[in-house]
Amino acid sequence: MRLGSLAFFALFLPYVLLLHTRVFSRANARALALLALGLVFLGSRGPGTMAYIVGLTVFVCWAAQYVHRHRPRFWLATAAIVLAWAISRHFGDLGVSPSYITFFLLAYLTEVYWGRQTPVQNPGSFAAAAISPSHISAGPVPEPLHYLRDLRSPLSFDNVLVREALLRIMSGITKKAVGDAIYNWALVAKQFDPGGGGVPAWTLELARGARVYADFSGYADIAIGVGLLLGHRLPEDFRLPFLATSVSTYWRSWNASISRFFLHYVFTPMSLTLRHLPPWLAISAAAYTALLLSGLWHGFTWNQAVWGLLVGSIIVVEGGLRLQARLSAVPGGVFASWLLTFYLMCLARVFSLEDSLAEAWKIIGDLHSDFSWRPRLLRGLVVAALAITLPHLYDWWRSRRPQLHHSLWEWCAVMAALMFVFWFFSDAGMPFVYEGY
Amino acid sequence: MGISEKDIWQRMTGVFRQVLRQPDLIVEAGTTAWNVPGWDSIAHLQILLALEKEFSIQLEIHEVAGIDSAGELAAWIARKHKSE
Repeated sequence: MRLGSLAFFALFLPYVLLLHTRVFSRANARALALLALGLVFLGSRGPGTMAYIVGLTVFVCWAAQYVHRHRPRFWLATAAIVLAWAISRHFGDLGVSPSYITFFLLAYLTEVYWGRQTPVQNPGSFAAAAISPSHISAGPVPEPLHYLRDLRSPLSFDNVLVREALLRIMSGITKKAVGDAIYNWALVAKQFDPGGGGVPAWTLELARGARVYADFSGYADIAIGVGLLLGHRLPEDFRLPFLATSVSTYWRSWNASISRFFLHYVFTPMSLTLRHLPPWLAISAAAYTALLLSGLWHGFTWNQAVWGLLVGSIIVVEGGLRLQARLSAVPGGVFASWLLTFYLMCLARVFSLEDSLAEAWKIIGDLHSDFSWRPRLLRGLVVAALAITLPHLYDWWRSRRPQLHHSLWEWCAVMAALMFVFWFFSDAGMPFVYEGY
Repeated sequence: MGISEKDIWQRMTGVFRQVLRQPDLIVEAGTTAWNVPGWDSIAHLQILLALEKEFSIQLEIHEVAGIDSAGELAAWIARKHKSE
Protein backbone atom coordinates (compact mmCIF):
# COMPACT_ATOMS: atom_id res chain seq x y z
CA MET A 1 0.00 0.00 0.00
CA ARG A 2 1.48 3.32 -1.09
CA LEU A 3 0.62 6.79 0.26
CA GLY A 4 -1.68 8.40 -2.28
CA SER A 5 -2.88 5.11 -3.78
CA LEU A 6 -6.55 4.19 -4.05
CA ALA A 7 -6.05 1.32 -1.59
CA PHE A 8 -4.61 3.73 0.95
CA PHE A 9 -7.49 6.19 0.72
CA ALA A 10 -10.07 3.40 0.76
CA LEU A 11 -8.72 2.56 4.21
CA PHE A 12 -7.72 6.03 5.35
CA LEU A 13 -10.79 8.17 4.68
CA PRO A 14 -13.27 5.98 6.63
CA TYR A 15 -10.59 5.74 9.33
CA VAL A 16 -10.44 9.55 9.60
CA LEU A 17 -14.21 9.77 9.94
CA LEU A 18 -14.06 7.18 12.72
CA LEU A 19 -11.18 9.03 14.38
CA HIS A 20 -13.33 12.14 14.71
CA THR A 21 -16.06 10.32 16.64
CA ARG A 22 -16.37 10.63 20.41
CA VAL A 23 -14.84 7.17 20.94
CA PHE A 24 -11.43 8.54 19.96
CA SER A 25 -11.66 11.91 21.69
CA ARG A 26 -9.23 10.85 24.41
CA ALA A 27 -5.50 11.08 23.66
CA ASN A 28 -4.86 7.41 24.59
CA ALA A 29 -7.60 6.08 22.34
CA ARG A 30 -6.34 8.27 19.52
CA ALA A 31 -2.76 7.04 20.00
CA LEU A 32 -4.02 3.46 19.87
CA ALA A 33 -5.93 4.16 16.65
CA LEU A 34 -2.88 5.86 15.14
CA LEU A 35 -0.71 2.91 16.12
CA ALA A 36 -3.16 0.51 14.46
CA LEU A 37 -3.13 2.56 11.25
CA GLY A 38 0.66 2.69 11.24
CA LEU A 39 0.91 -1.06 11.78
CA VAL A 40 -1.54 -1.80 8.96
CA PHE A 41 0.40 0.55 6.66
CA LEU A 42 3.74 -1.02 7.57
CA GLY A 43 2.28 -4.53 7.56
CA SER A 44 1.26 -4.05 3.95
CA ARG A 45 4.97 -3.72 3.14
CA GLY A 46 5.73 -7.04 4.82
CA PRO A 47 6.23 -8.44 8.32
CA GLY A 48 10.01 -7.87 8.16
CA THR A 49 9.49 -4.16 7.48
CA MET A 50 7.02 -3.89 10.32
CA ALA A 51 9.29 -5.74 12.76
CA TYR A 52 12.33 -3.61 11.85
CA ILE A 53 10.60 -0.22 12.09
CA VAL A 54 8.66 -1.04 15.26
CA GLY A 55 11.77 -2.60 16.84
CA LEU A 56 13.87 0.48 16.04
CA THR A 57 11.16 2.80 17.36
CA VAL A 58 10.80 0.93 20.64
CA PHE A 59 14.59 0.86 21.00
CA VAL A 60 14.79 4.66 20.55
CA CYS A 61 11.96 5.19 23.03
CA TRP A 62 13.93 3.22 25.61
CA ALA A 63 17.28 4.77 24.58
CA ALA A 64 15.88 8.30 25.01
CA GLN A 65 14.81 7.50 28.57
CA TYR A 66 18.28 6.09 29.24
CA VAL A 67 20.06 9.09 27.63
CA HIS A 68 17.89 11.43 29.73
CA ARG A 69 19.47 9.85 32.83
CA HIS A 70 22.95 9.07 31.42
CA ARG A 71 23.78 11.84 28.95
CA PRO A 72 27.21 10.49 27.81
CA ARG A 73 25.41 7.45 26.36
CA PHE A 74 23.86 9.70 23.68
CA TRP A 75 26.66 9.01 21.21
CA LEU A 76 26.38 5.25 21.65
CA ALA A 77 22.63 5.34 21.01
CA THR A 78 23.15 7.61 17.99
CA ALA A 79 25.77 5.27 16.56
CA ALA A 80 23.40 2.30 17.00
CA ILE A 81 20.59 4.10 15.13
CA VAL A 82 22.91 5.15 12.29
CA LEU A 83 24.31 1.63 12.03
CA ALA A 84 20.80 0.16 11.88
CA TRP A 85 19.94 2.65 9.14
CA ALA A 86 23.10 1.87 7.15
CA ILE A 87 22.48 -1.88 7.31
CA SER A 88 18.80 -1.63 6.40
CA ARG A 89 19.43 0.96 3.69
CA HIS A 90 22.20 -0.90 1.91
CA PHE A 91 21.71 -4.56 2.64
CA GLY A 92 17.98 -4.90 3.21
CA ASP A 93 14.93 -4.41 1.07
CA LEU A 94 12.28 -3.06 3.40
CA GLY A 95 9.94 -1.81 0.71
CA VAL A 96 9.92 1.47 2.60
CA SER A 97 12.75 3.95 3.00
CA PRO A 98 14.33 3.64 6.46
CA SER A 99 15.82 7.16 6.16
CA TYR A 100 12.87 9.36 7.13
CA ILE A 101 12.00 7.53 10.31
CA THR A 102 15.71 7.52 11.16
CA PHE A 103 15.89 11.32 10.77
CA PHE A 104 12.88 11.70 13.06
CA LEU A 105 14.28 9.32 15.67
CA LEU A 106 17.71 11.00 15.64
CA ALA A 107 16.10 14.43 15.98
CA TYR A 108 13.99 13.20 18.90
CA LEU A 109 16.98 11.63 20.67
CA THR A 110 19.04 14.81 20.20
CA GLU A 111 16.24 16.98 21.60
CA VAL A 112 16.07 14.71 24.65
CA TYR A 113 19.88 14.91 25.00
CA TRP A 114 19.73 18.72 24.81
CA GLY A 115 17.05 18.72 27.48
CA ARG A 116 14.42 20.36 25.30
CA GLN A 117 12.20 17.29 25.02
CA THR A 118 10.91 15.14 27.86
CA PRO A 119 11.26 11.48 26.89
CA VAL A 120 8.00 9.71 26.08
CA GLN A 121 7.53 6.94 28.65
CA ASN A 122 5.06 4.73 26.82
CA PRO A 123 6.59 2.84 23.83
CA GLY A 124 3.11 2.40 22.34
CA SER A 125 2.41 6.15 22.31
CA PHE A 126 5.85 6.85 20.91
CA ALA A 127 5.52 4.20 18.19
CA ALA A 128 2.09 5.61 17.28
CA ALA A 129 3.68 9.01 16.70
CA ALA A 130 6.76 7.70 14.91
CA ILE A 131 5.15 5.32 12.45
CA SER A 132 2.29 7.50 11.24
CA PRO A 133 1.78 6.88 7.48
CA SER A 134 2.01 10.65 6.87
CA HIS A 135 5.79 10.61 7.12
CA ILE A 136 7.01 7.04 7.48
CA SER A 137 8.19 6.34 3.92
CA ALA A 138 9.17 9.80 2.65
CA GLY A 139 8.04 13.39 2.86
CA PRO A 140 8.48 16.04 5.52
CA VAL A 141 10.25 14.90 8.67
CA PRO A 142 8.27 16.22 11.66
CA GLU A 143 10.01 18.43 14.21
CA PRO A 144 9.71 16.32 17.39
CA LEU A 145 8.93 19.22 19.77
CA HIS A 146 5.97 20.52 17.75
CA TYR A 147 4.79 17.19 16.45
CA LEU A 148 4.58 15.38 19.79
CA ARG A 149 2.82 18.41 21.31
CA ASP A 150 0.29 18.48 18.42
CA LEU A 151 -0.55 14.81 18.95
CA ARG A 152 -1.40 15.44 22.60
CA SER A 153 -3.84 18.24 21.83
CA PRO A 154 -7.49 17.28 21.21
CA LEU A 155 -8.61 16.51 17.67
CA SER A 156 -11.36 18.79 16.41
CA PHE A 157 -13.26 18.77 13.15
CA ASP A 158 -12.37 22.05 11.50
CA ASN A 159 -13.90 22.76 8.08
CA VAL A 160 -11.08 25.04 6.96
CA LEU A 161 -8.47 22.49 7.96
CA VAL A 162 -10.30 19.61 6.26
CA ARG A 163 -10.65 21.70 3.11
CA GLU A 164 -6.94 22.50 3.18
CA ALA A 165 -6.10 18.84 3.77
CA LEU A 166 -8.22 17.60 0.86
CA LEU A 167 -6.81 20.21 -1.49
CA ARG A 168 -3.26 19.36 -0.48
CA ILE A 169 -3.95 15.67 -1.10
CA MET A 170 -5.51 16.34 -4.48
CA SER A 171 -2.80 18.73 -5.59
CA GLY A 172 -0.23 16.15 -4.47
CA ILE A 173 -1.81 13.38 -6.52
CA THR A 174 -2.04 15.71 -9.51
CA LYS A 175 1.61 16.69 -9.19
CA LYS A 176 2.60 13.03 -8.98
CA ALA A 177 0.70 12.30 -12.18
CA VAL A 178 2.32 15.34 -13.84
CA GLY A 179 5.72 14.06 -12.75
CA ASP A 180 5.06 10.62 -14.22
CA ALA A 181 3.78 12.17 -17.45
CA ILE A 182 6.93 14.29 -17.76
CA TYR A 183 9.10 11.25 -17.12
CA ASN A 184 7.37 9.25 -19.86
CA TRP A 185 7.48 12.19 -22.24
CA ALA A 186 11.18 12.74 -21.59
CA LEU A 187 11.90 9.07 -22.34
CA VAL A 188 10.07 9.39 -25.65
CA ALA A 189 11.83 12.68 -26.41
CA LYS A 190 15.16 11.01 -25.74
CA GLN A 191 14.39 8.31 -28.29
CA PHE A 192 13.64 10.97 -30.90
CA ASP A 193 16.86 12.87 -30.28
CA PRO A 194 19.64 10.41 -29.60
CA GLY A 195 22.26 12.64 -31.24
CA GLY A 196 23.00 14.78 -28.19
CA GLY A 197 23.74 18.47 -28.38
CA GLY A 198 22.97 21.35 -26.05
CA VAL A 199 19.24 21.77 -26.65
CA PRO A 200 18.18 18.11 -26.15
CA ALA A 201 20.51 17.89 -23.14
CA TRP A 202 18.89 20.93 -21.50
CA THR A 203 15.43 19.64 -22.44
CA LEU A 204 16.13 16.38 -20.64
CA GLU A 205 17.75 18.12 -17.69
CA LEU A 206 14.81 20.47 -17.23
CA ALA A 207 12.41 17.55 -17.63
CA ARG A 208 14.27 15.62 -14.93
CA GLY A 209 14.20 18.60 -12.59
CA ALA A 210 10.48 19.06 -13.26
CA ARG A 211 9.80 15.38 -12.68
CA VAL A 212 11.68 15.15 -9.40
CA TYR A 213 10.06 18.36 -8.12
CA ALA A 214 6.53 17.34 -9.14
CA ASP A 215 7.00 13.84 -7.73
CA PHE A 216 8.59 14.78 -4.44
CA SER A 217 6.62 17.93 -3.68
CA GLY A 218 3.51 15.96 -4.68
CA TYR A 219 4.38 13.37 -2.08
CA ALA A 220 4.94 16.13 0.50
CA ASP A 221 1.54 17.65 -0.32
CA ILE A 222 -0.19 14.29 0.18
CA ALA A 223 1.72 13.70 3.42
CA ILE A 224 0.84 17.17 4.76
CA GLY A 225 -2.84 16.64 3.84
CA VAL A 226 -2.90 13.21 5.50
CA GLY A 227 -1.18 14.69 8.57
CA LEU A 228 -3.77 17.46 8.84
CA LEU A 229 -6.58 14.90 8.81
CA LEU A 230 -4.77 13.01 11.58
CA GLY A 231 -4.46 16.18 13.70
CA HIS A 232 -0.89 17.35 13.11
CA ARG A 233 0.74 19.83 10.75
CA LEU A 234 3.92 18.59 9.10
CA PRO A 235 6.45 21.26 8.12
CA GLU A 236 6.46 22.55 4.53
CA ASP A 237 9.06 20.59 2.61
CA PHE A 238 9.33 22.72 -0.53
CA ARG A 239 9.62 26.50 -0.40
CA LEU A 240 9.81 27.37 -4.09
CA PRO A 241 13.39 26.14 -4.59
CA PHE A 242 13.48 26.98 -8.31
CA LEU A 243 12.96 30.66 -7.45
CA ALA A 244 15.91 30.73 -5.04
CA THR A 245 18.51 33.42 -5.64
CA SER A 246 21.32 31.62 -3.81
CA VAL A 247 22.43 28.00 -3.62
CA SER A 248 22.15 28.15 0.15
CA THR A 249 18.49 29.19 -0.11
CA TYR A 250 17.89 26.54 -2.76
CA TRP A 251 19.32 23.86 -0.50
CA ARG A 252 17.19 25.00 2.46
CA SER A 253 14.08 25.17 0.25
CA TRP A 254 14.38 21.71 -1.30
CA ASN A 255 13.29 18.94 1.03
CA ALA A 256 13.39 21.64 3.69
CA SER A 257 12.75 19.36 6.66
CA ILE A 258 15.85 17.31 5.88
CA SER A 259 17.95 20.44 5.22
CA ARG A 260 16.68 21.76 8.55
CA PHE A 261 17.78 18.50 10.19
CA PHE A 262 21.33 18.90 8.86
CA LEU A 263 21.39 22.60 9.77
CA HIS A 264 20.12 22.17 13.32
CA TYR A 265 21.75 18.90 14.27
CA VAL A 266 25.00 18.92 12.25
CA PHE A 267 26.01 22.33 10.85
CA THR A 268 25.18 24.65 13.78
CA PRO A 269 26.40 22.38 16.62
CA MET A 270 29.58 21.47 14.73
CA SER A 271 30.48 25.04 13.78
CA LEU A 272 29.83 26.23 17.34
CA THR A 273 31.94 23.40 18.74
CA LEU A 274 34.78 24.44 16.41
CA ARG A 275 34.48 28.16 17.15
CA HIS A 276 37.96 28.26 18.73
CA LEU A 277 39.29 27.80 15.18
CA PRO A 278 39.39 30.68 12.67
CA PRO A 279 35.73 31.35 11.68
CA TRP A 280 36.22 30.51 7.98
CA LEU A 281 37.73 27.13 8.92
CA ALA A 282 35.00 26.26 11.45
CA ILE A 283 32.22 27.24 9.05
CA SER A 284 33.79 25.50 6.05
CA ALA A 285 34.39 22.26 8.00
CA ALA A 286 30.79 22.26 9.28
CA ALA A 287 29.31 23.13 5.89
CA TYR A 288 31.28 20.43 4.07
CA THR A 289 30.38 17.82 6.69
CA ALA A 290 26.66 18.69 6.61
CA LEU A 291 26.51 18.73 2.81
CA LEU A 292 28.58 15.57 2.44
CA LEU A 293 26.27 13.73 4.85
CA SER A 294 23.27 15.25 3.08
CA GLY A 295 24.58 13.81 -0.19
CA LEU A 296 25.53 10.42 1.21
CA TRP A 297 22.13 9.66 2.77
CA HIS A 298 20.88 9.42 -0.82
CA GLY A 299 23.38 6.58 -1.32
CA PHE A 300 27.01 5.70 -0.59
CA THR A 301 28.31 6.59 -4.07
CA TRP A 302 31.01 8.87 -5.46
CA ASN A 303 28.30 10.79 -7.29
CA GLN A 304 26.51 11.71 -4.06
CA ALA A 305 29.83 12.62 -2.43
CA VAL A 306 30.68 14.90 -5.36
CA TRP A 307 27.19 16.45 -5.12
CA GLY A 308 27.73 17.18 -1.42
CA LEU A 309 31.22 18.61 -1.90
CA LEU A 310 30.15 20.67 -4.89
CA VAL A 311 27.13 22.23 -3.18
CA GLY A 312 29.17 22.67 0.02
CA SER A 313 31.89 24.53 -1.92
CA ILE A 314 29.39 26.82 -3.62
CA ILE A 315 27.66 27.60 -0.30
CA VAL A 316 30.98 28.37 1.41
CA VAL A 317 32.12 30.63 -1.45
CA GLU A 318 28.83 32.50 -1.89
CA GLY A 319 28.45 32.86 1.90
CA GLY A 320 32.04 34.09 2.29
CA LEU A 321 31.67 36.62 -0.52
CA ARG A 322 28.12 37.65 0.56
CA LEU A 323 27.30 37.13 -3.11
CA GLN A 324 23.51 37.32 -2.81
CA ALA A 325 23.56 40.62 -0.89
CA ARG A 326 26.10 42.15 -3.28
CA LEU A 327 24.21 41.05 -6.39
CA SER A 328 20.83 42.21 -5.09
CA ALA A 329 22.28 45.71 -4.70
CA VAL A 330 22.96 46.16 -8.44
CA PRO A 331 20.33 46.55 -11.20
CA GLY A 332 19.41 43.17 -12.66
CA GLY A 333 21.44 41.49 -9.94
CA VAL A 334 18.51 39.53 -8.51
CA PHE A 335 17.78 38.01 -11.92
CA ALA A 336 21.50 37.25 -12.41
CA SER A 337 21.75 35.52 -9.03
CA TRP A 338 18.57 33.53 -9.74
CA LEU A 339 19.93 32.41 -13.13
CA LEU A 340 23.30 31.50 -11.65
CA THR A 341 21.65 29.53 -8.83
CA PHE A 342 19.37 27.68 -11.24
CA TYR A 343 22.28 26.85 -13.54
CA LEU A 344 24.56 25.65 -10.73
CA MET A 345 21.84 23.50 -9.19
CA CYS A 346 21.06 21.92 -12.58
CA LEU A 347 24.72 20.92 -12.82
CA ALA A 348 24.76 19.64 -9.23
CA ARG A 349 21.58 17.63 -9.82
CA VAL A 350 23.27 15.77 -12.67
CA PHE A 351 25.73 14.25 -10.18
CA SER A 352 22.93 13.37 -7.78
CA LEU A 353 20.73 11.63 -10.35
CA GLU A 354 23.31 9.80 -12.46
CA ASP A 355 24.72 6.40 -11.50
CA SER A 356 28.38 7.09 -12.27
CA LEU A 357 30.75 10.04 -12.50
CA ALA A 358 31.50 9.19 -16.15
CA GLU A 359 27.81 9.50 -17.08
CA ALA A 360 27.50 12.74 -15.11
CA TRP A 361 30.50 14.30 -16.84
CA LYS A 362 29.13 13.22 -20.24
CA ILE A 363 25.81 14.96 -19.56
CA ILE A 364 27.58 18.08 -18.28
CA GLY A 365 29.62 18.05 -21.51
CA ASP A 366 26.37 17.75 -23.55
CA LEU A 367 24.81 20.66 -21.64
CA HIS A 368 27.66 22.87 -22.82
CA SER A 369 27.95 21.50 -26.36
CA ASP A 370 26.75 22.84 -29.69
CA PHE A 371 23.31 24.55 -29.66
CA SER A 372 21.36 23.99 -32.86
CA TRP A 373 17.94 25.63 -32.71
CA ARG A 374 15.87 23.34 -34.89
CA PRO A 375 12.11 24.05 -34.39
CA ARG A 376 11.35 20.52 -33.17
CA LEU A 377 14.10 20.71 -30.57
CA LEU A 378 12.95 24.11 -29.48
CA ARG A 379 9.41 22.80 -29.01
CA GLY A 380 10.74 20.13 -26.66
CA LEU A 381 12.68 22.71 -24.67
CA VAL A 382 9.57 24.86 -24.29
CA VAL A 383 7.54 21.85 -23.07
CA ALA A 384 10.24 21.00 -20.51
CA ALA A 385 10.44 24.64 -19.38
CA LEU A 386 6.66 24.70 -18.93
CA ALA A 387 6.79 21.41 -17.03
CA ILE A 388 9.27 22.86 -14.57
CA THR A 389 7.37 26.15 -14.30
CA LEU A 390 3.73 25.13 -13.88
CA PRO A 391 3.85 23.04 -10.67
CA HIS A 392 6.10 25.75 -9.22
CA LEU A 393 3.72 28.46 -10.29
CA TYR A 394 0.90 26.60 -8.54
CA ASP A 395 2.95 26.37 -5.33
CA TRP A 396 3.86 30.05 -5.57
CA TRP A 397 0.18 30.95 -5.97
CA ARG A 398 -0.76 28.74 -3.02
CA SER A 399 1.97 30.26 -0.83
CA ARG A 400 0.60 33.75 -1.62
CA ARG A 401 -2.95 32.70 -0.74
CA PRO A 402 -2.84 30.41 2.28
CA GLN A 403 -6.56 30.91 2.96
CA LEU A 404 -8.75 29.84 0.05
CA HIS A 405 -12.00 31.77 -0.15
CA HIS A 406 -13.57 29.91 -3.03
CA SER A 407 -16.06 27.14 -2.50
CA LEU A 408 -14.50 23.80 -1.68
CA TRP A 409 -16.50 22.16 -4.44
CA GLU A 410 -15.18 24.57 -7.08
CA TRP A 411 -11.64 23.65 -6.20
CA CYS A 412 -12.47 19.97 -5.92
CA ALA A 413 -13.95 20.01 -9.42
CA VAL A 414 -10.90 21.74 -10.90
CA MET A 415 -8.43 19.49 -9.13
CA ALA A 416 -10.40 16.33 -9.88
CA ALA A 417 -10.53 17.24 -13.56
CA LEU A 418 -6.80 17.91 -13.65
CA MET A 419 -6.10 14.75 -11.73
CA PHE A 420 -8.21 12.69 -14.08
CA VAL A 421 -6.51 14.10 -17.17
CA PHE A 422 -3.01 13.46 -15.91
CA TRP A 423 -3.86 10.14 -14.32
CA PHE A 424 -5.48 8.96 -17.51
CA PHE A 425 -2.53 9.93 -19.71
CA SER A 426 0.22 8.79 -17.42
CA ASP A 427 1.46 5.64 -15.75
CA ALA A 428 0.01 6.23 -12.30
CA GLY A 429 1.53 3.07 -10.90
CA MET A 430 5.08 4.37 -10.69
CA PRO A 431 6.56 4.55 -7.20
CA PHE A 432 7.55 7.91 -5.70
CA VAL A 433 11.20 8.73 -6.43
CA TYR A 434 12.16 9.57 -2.86
CA GLU A 435 10.68 6.40 -1.40
CA GLY A 436 13.83 4.78 -2.81
CA TYR A 437 16.11 6.76 -0.50
CA MET B 1 22.41 43.64 35.21
CA GLY B 2 19.05 44.06 33.47
CA ILE B 3 18.62 44.95 29.85
CA SER B 4 15.54 46.50 28.28
CA GLU B 5 13.72 44.95 25.36
CA LYS B 6 14.24 48.12 23.36
CA ASP B 7 17.98 47.94 23.97
CA ILE B 8 18.05 44.29 22.84
CA TRP B 9 16.29 45.10 19.57
CA GLN B 10 18.43 48.16 18.92
CA ARG B 11 21.73 46.34 19.39
CA MET B 12 20.48 43.23 17.66
CA THR B 13 19.45 45.27 14.62
CA GLY B 14 22.95 46.75 14.53
CA VAL B 15 24.46 43.26 14.49
CA PHE B 16 22.13 42.09 11.72
CA ARG B 17 22.88 45.15 9.60
CA GLN B 18 26.61 44.73 10.03
CA VAL B 19 26.76 40.98 9.36
CA LEU B 20 24.34 41.04 6.43
CA ARG B 21 25.79 44.31 5.09
CA GLN B 22 22.35 45.84 4.80
CA PRO B 23 22.42 49.24 6.54
CA ASP B 24 18.68 49.84 6.11
CA LEU B 25 17.49 46.43 7.28
CA ILE B 26 14.48 46.48 9.60
CA VAL B 27 14.57 43.66 12.12
CA GLU B 28 11.27 42.57 13.69
CA ALA B 29 10.02 39.57 15.66
CA GLY B 30 8.82 37.89 12.46
CA THR B 31 12.09 38.42 10.58
CA THR B 32 13.44 35.05 9.47
CA ALA B 33 15.97 33.68 7.02
CA TRP B 34 13.08 33.27 4.57
CA ASN B 35 12.32 36.98 4.32
CA VAL B 36 15.82 38.50 4.44
CA PRO B 37 18.05 37.99 1.40
CA GLY B 38 21.52 36.93 2.45
CA TRP B 39 20.48 35.43 5.82
CA ASP B 40 21.78 31.99 4.96
CA SER B 41 23.19 29.28 7.22
CA ILE B 42 26.65 30.85 7.28
CA ALA B 43 25.30 34.33 8.00
CA HIS B 44 23.11 32.78 10.73
CA LEU B 45 26.17 31.48 12.46
CA GLN B 46 28.02 34.77 12.10
CA ILE B 47 25.00 36.53 13.61
CA LEU B 48 25.00 34.15 16.58
CA LEU B 49 28.71 34.68 17.23
CA ALA B 50 28.36 38.45 16.85
CA LEU B 51 25.41 38.50 19.27
CA GLU B 52 27.42 36.47 21.78
CA LYS B 53 30.11 39.16 21.66
CA GLU B 54 27.73 42.13 21.57
CA PHE B 55 25.73 41.04 24.62
CA SER B 56 28.61 39.27 26.42
CA ILE B 57 26.66 36.06 26.82
CA GLN B 58 27.77 32.45 26.62
CA LEU B 59 26.27 30.61 23.68
CA GLU B 60 25.11 27.05 24.37
CA ILE B 61 24.52 24.76 21.39
CA HIS B 62 21.25 23.29 22.70
CA GLU B 63 19.82 26.79 23.24
CA VAL B 64 20.40 28.16 19.76
CA ALA B 65 20.29 25.14 17.44
CA GLY B 66 16.56 25.48 16.82
CA ILE B 67 16.31 29.27 16.65
CA ASP B 68 14.87 30.45 13.34
CA SER B 69 13.62 34.01 13.82
CA ALA B 70 14.74 37.37 15.20
CA GLY B 71 11.93 37.16 17.77
CA GLU B 72 13.31 33.89 19.15
CA LEU B 73 16.83 35.38 19.20
CA ALA B 74 15.62 38.40 21.21
CA ALA B 75 13.82 36.12 23.67
CA TRP B 76 16.96 34.00 24.03
CA ILE B 77 19.12 37.08 24.74
CA ALA B 78 16.63 38.33 27.34
CA ARG B 79 16.59 34.89 29.01
CA LYS B 80 20.38 34.71 29.08
CA HIS B 81 20.70 38.15 30.60
CA LYS B 82 18.21 37.26 33.28
CA SER B 83 20.03 34.05 34.21
CA GLU B 84 23.62 35.39 34.10
